[in-house]
Amino acid sequence: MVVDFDHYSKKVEFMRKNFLVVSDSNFFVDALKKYFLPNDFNFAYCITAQDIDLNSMPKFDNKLMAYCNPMRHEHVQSVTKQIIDMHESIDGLIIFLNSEGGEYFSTSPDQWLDYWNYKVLGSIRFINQISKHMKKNKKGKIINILNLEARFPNLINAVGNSADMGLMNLTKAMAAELAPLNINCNSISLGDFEFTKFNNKMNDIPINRQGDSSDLMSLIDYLLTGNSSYIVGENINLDGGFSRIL
Amino acid sequence: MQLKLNNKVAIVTGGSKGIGFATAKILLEERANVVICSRSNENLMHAKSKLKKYDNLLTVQCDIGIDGDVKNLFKQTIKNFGKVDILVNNAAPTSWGPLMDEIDESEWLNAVNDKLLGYVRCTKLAIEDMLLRKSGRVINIVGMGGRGPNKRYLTGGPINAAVLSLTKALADYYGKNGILVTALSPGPIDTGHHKNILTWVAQEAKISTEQAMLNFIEGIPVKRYGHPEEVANAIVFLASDKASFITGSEVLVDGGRFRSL
Ligand SMILES: NC(=O)c1ccc[n+]([C@@H]2O[C@H](COP(=O)([O-])OP(=O)(O)OC[C@H]3O[C@@H](n4cnc5c(N)ncnc54)[C@H](OP(=O)(O)O)[C@@H]3O)[C@@H](O)[C@H]2O)c1
Repeated sequence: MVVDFDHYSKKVEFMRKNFLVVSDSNFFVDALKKYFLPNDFNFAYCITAQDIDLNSMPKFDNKLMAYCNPMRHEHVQSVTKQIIDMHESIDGLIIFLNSEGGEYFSTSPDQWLDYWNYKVLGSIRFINQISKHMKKNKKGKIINILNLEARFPNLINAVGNSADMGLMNLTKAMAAELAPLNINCNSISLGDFEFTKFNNKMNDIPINRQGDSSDLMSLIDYLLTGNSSYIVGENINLDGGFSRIL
Repeated sequence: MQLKLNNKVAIVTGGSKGIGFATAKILLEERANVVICSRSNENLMHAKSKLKKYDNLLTVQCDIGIDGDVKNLFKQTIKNFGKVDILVNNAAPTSWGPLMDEIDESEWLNAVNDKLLGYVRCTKLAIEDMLLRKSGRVINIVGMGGRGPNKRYLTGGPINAAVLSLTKALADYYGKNGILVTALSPGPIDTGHHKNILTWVAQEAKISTEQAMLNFIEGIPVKRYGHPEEVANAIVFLASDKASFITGSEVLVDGGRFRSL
């Protein structure tokens, strides 16, 4: 399916808005770039990894890209400060961190904790920092992207699945705290996409195809615009009908 | 109820107080061999004195957040009773109150280490022994915060959700080995744990703790708090042969409070 990016660029809601995307998936960031760049808004992205341990603080280059380790509070603080220095405000934060945390049998408690520190606490660090500025402006949208597989957990990825469920819970709890300040916090559980690991068979997906960037972008677009302001703390399964659960 | 638990060996973590203590007591009444653990020796001695009429009780001081302590708990159990048939993962300190930016990072990591990883540590060792007989029960005490996120339960809720996830994954994997893994979520139960919650609810709403309790009770269809024994009865049922086709499920013992599908 071809993405109609012109359609998005006509959207006035986004004009002069600032978005930050935090992800360790280049694929995901590329997909978002295609969506954000043709528009009249500012898009910065932060590539993360557990093993990034830069001596110097992360710095955005002229393509508005920075490397950062979300396990380090100072890194997250520095990224936030640079964005605010550049644009004064931040309107949207999208976080998509690796959902492959490790399997149950061989993951040690320390490795398990490290992964939580990266994925769950890393998301919290970003949300804490960015939401401070959103609170000042009394508006903002936060989207956590999770893996639908976590809703059908298995031991092969027990660490990742359980952290994703933790993050889904947290999104709802934080949404309750932030909603009175006009900040919407929601999550999306991705089914079988090019950038997800999904072990279920295609013939289980009623729509009979893998999800593509435009499927995700349409939903992100909807969640980022004012039209979705009554959607708070929701987790949306974006899965072509796969999940069939209440 | 005749649950045929005689000769079974059960470990109840956090068995010195509250729900864990009530569970240990019913298991002892059902003539199982019971091991309880908790961090404070004083709490254990107090529990032991209240259960002194039973001679098939072992107490082991153990913090489930510490690898060596958990290893010792299982070592003592096997030494005294020879096996583990039932594990009730119940011990869990989780804190209510602080909002997102009020929780410091070490508090977060400690909470994950104590509840989620504490349950993982105990489960791994229990299942290792259960596999020898291809039979066993693991019952994870969770809490409604897992399904019903709350902005004042920021560490506890996600960790409970993670324990639910793990429960289902373990049930899926070990069903073929005769090991059944379930979760049980108590609603508001009149233990120390819940008093802690009320203090925060009262502070937030700027009302007295008594008023907070009355408001809370108003939201429970049966119009009262649950008692630890009511939760314990359900736990012991899940541990028994009567529950032989129940695995991967979450049983709610909450007086009807949670009303979502
Ligand atoms: N009461 C409720 O309304 C309610 C509702 C939902 C869920 N729950 C869940 O039910 C379980 C039991 O709650 P409860 O109300 O019975 O709590 P409680 O009355 O506070 O008792 C907790 C028990 O756990 C022990 N413990 C705590 N941390 C431990 C650790 N790290 N290692 C070993 N033992 C530890 C405590 O003894 P020491 O202090 O000596 O270690 C005590 O024996 C918990 O998992 C809780 O989250 C309770």
